[in-house]
Amino acid sequence: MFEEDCIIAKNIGISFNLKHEKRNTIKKAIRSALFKGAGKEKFWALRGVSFTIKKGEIVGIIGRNGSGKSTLLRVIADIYAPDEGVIDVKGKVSTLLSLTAGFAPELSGYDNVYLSGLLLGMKKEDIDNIIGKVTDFSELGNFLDVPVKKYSSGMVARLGFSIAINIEQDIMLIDEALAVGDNLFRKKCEEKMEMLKKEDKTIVVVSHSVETIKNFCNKAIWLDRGQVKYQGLVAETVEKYFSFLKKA
Amino acid sequence: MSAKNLPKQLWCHRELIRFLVYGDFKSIYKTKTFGFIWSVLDPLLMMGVYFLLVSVIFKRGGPYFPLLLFCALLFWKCFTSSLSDSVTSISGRAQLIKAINFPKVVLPFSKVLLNFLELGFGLLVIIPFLFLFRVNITWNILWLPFLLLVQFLFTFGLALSFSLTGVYFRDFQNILQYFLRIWFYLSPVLYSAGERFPKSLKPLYMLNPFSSLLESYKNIFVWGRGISAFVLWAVFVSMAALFIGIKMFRHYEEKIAKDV
Repeated sequence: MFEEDCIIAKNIGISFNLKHEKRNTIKKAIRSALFKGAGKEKFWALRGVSFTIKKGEIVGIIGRNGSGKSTLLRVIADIYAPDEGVIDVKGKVSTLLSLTAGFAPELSGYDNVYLSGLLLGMKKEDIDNIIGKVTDFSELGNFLDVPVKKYSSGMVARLGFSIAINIEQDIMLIDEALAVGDNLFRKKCEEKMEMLKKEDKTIVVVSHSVETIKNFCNKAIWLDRGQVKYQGLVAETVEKYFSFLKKA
Repeated sequence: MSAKNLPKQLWCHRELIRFLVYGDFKSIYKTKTFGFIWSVLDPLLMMGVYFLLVSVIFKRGGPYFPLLLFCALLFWKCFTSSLSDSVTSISGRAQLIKAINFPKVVLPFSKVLLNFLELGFGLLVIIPFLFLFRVNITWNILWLPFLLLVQFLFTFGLALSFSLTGVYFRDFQNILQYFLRIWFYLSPVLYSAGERFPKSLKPLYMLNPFSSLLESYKNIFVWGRGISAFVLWAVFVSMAALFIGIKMFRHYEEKIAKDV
């Protein structure tokens, strides 16, 4: 079977000015204006990262806190433009990086489905087509007419995930979203993910739960301090990662 | 993003803008007892305060003063609220910007749009006022859409740069308040042109695009006259503001997600 490349990353580097991590104050602004480079420190969240993901692959990204996993997803989603290297993404990307961030608290769940879809670049007619699927999947029933601010945190997450998983773009990025809602809902999510897997969608998952990645993905990329430590089949990558953790 | 495809980009995302405005509208007014009536109550109460100060205490202003004041306050409030809203329009949505890639320009745009929507409600209230003061309404009122367009372009142009300034220089929000306050006193809201504006500051008065805009609003609503010729200067300033705003946005748009 001929498999086409879907995401090609070459030598990706993302740097942050640590100066910006803190709110700018006049004092700092003056100091950095007077002394060039004062208070500026370049921090490479990712550097020299290269990989290729083929269409239909399910890739897990593992690594410890602060290793650059979420940053990498943001690069794939075109939220961050790389400071070094190039990335080529073929197809439409849906980001499931906390989709709930786009919710307007005073709007109903129903309206928020539209808002999130539109933020993801969908046309209103396309959302009309999937709205039924989303609302059914969320099992929120009458609550869909209620402002989202009245929802419990579990309900908000459930709505966010229902939107994300039903939007079905070519490439889906999932960040820690698998552990949403109660057991029954989680099971439903896992079933839906299995279905997507069969539909030849390309999926990139970031999760702290290595178990999830092991069960769900067929490839894995292990990031450590912004660099690729190992990549390959999921079993061997996870094994290497575990033996590294034991040593540390 | 270039100047040419900005209107296209906004048009393509009109549904998104609609939902953003709708969401903001609800969060501002749905939680309050008087709801969106506040968009009219605000300038009305402000007018009351200044009426007390100028007409009652200082015994100035003349018979049309309340009407002139309300008219000017309505447009001025739209301008200043648009600007203060735009400063936080991007910096306040850091989480969203780090989660989804979408054209950030819709954020300041929808804030400005919301404020012009409120202005629309205010304009409905001005009609009974005109009858109350037995104002002679003339065809000159048809200049209104033109004046509104100039004000909109000027506001949006500044909102573009201000939304970015809010990301890179957080103190801006505090500074802006005082800046707008001074601008308010330098603009013909509480007084009319020519009247008691020191001669030495006259050039400053002429350079302020809101001088001619507010004079023109008062002219067409209250005095039944045409617009001030200096509106042409306001048109020029609007274009410049828009040009700078778009340039800045094009330069920073890719970096916003990282810096916000």
